[in-house]
Amino acid sequence: MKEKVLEKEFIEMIQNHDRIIYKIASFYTDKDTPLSDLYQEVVLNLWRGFPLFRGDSKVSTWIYRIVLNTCVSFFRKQKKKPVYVEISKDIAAEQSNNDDIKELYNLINKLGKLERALVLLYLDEKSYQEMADITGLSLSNVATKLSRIKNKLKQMSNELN
Amino acid sequence: MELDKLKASWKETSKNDSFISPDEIKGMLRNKSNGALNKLIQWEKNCIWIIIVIMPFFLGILYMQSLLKNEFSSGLLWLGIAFSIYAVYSLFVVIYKYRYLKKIDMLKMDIITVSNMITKIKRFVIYDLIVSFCLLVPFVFFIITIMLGKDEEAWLYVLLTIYTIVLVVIAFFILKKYYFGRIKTIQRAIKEIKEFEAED
Repeated sequence: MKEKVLEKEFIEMIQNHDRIIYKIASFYTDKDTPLSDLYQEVVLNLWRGFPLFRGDSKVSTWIYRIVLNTCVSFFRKQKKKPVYVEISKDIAAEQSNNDDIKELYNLINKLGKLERALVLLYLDEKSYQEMADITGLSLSNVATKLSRIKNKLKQMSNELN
Repeated sequence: MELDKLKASWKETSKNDSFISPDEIKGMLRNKSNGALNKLIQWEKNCIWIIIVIMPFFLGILYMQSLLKNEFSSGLLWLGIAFSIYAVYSLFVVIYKYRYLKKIDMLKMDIITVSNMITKIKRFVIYDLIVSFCLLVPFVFFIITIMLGKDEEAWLYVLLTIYTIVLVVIAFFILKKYYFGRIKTIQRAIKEIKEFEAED
């Protein structure tokens, strides 16, 4: 019974934050790591941590930490892939309507995994303190790194156009 | 492209309705009860047990063999020693990997720490694979020479040695093709982590 209630709460939480999870996961997909694999991996890790979450931090901060940790460290030794559930709705089409977002997705692969994490946190308007907590950087380092990444993206965009 | 100007468009894409159904989420939870990291931990745990079971089993077979032959040959003794060294080395490596992976806590650790630990274990796995293979080839060579016995012609040993060398060269190129690229990627990731950790 308790398990059912927990599952219901969890599903609700995922549905409230599924776009964030999707956006982060799509920043880290490549030919070896399809989106459905990564998304499912994230959901499983969130599910593992859900009973332990006591609300010490904001739900979104907690989600960000787990989703980014999963995406940055996704490592599968076995060649044989487990069966994954395909996500029925393709929301990439919705996002591709926006040219700037489209360009960002094109450029993001040229950034390192940690740089991508900072870009995501910045775009979702996390405070410098939250960014520092999630990434493990100092406050001053967050600011410096962000400014460097912004310039890097600008430069890459200029080269592309 | 200005990252600051993107914020609004980015926010817009988060506003739409949920796209994943409860059944799809339930399916994900039922489909695969363990994440990739847990599977890795389980794999290493299984390896520990396999080595613990195989080691006395193999040594027992060698002992039985010597009892059946009614003599304790030096060949069997060396084979037992070589196997024990290989098994003990493997056991230490697997226990190390298991303990290391168990330390990774995605729920509490920050991204840089997790990324650092995962990158290091990835590098360790590749190096372990190469070292294990390098140890395995002479081990197999050693078993074959013992199986052949002392009465065989010398040319057979020369042929076997040439065959082993060719095997090592082929294996080196295969490993180079499949793993050296990954090592490069891992080195790049380590460099990125170091740069991130360094205060500006």
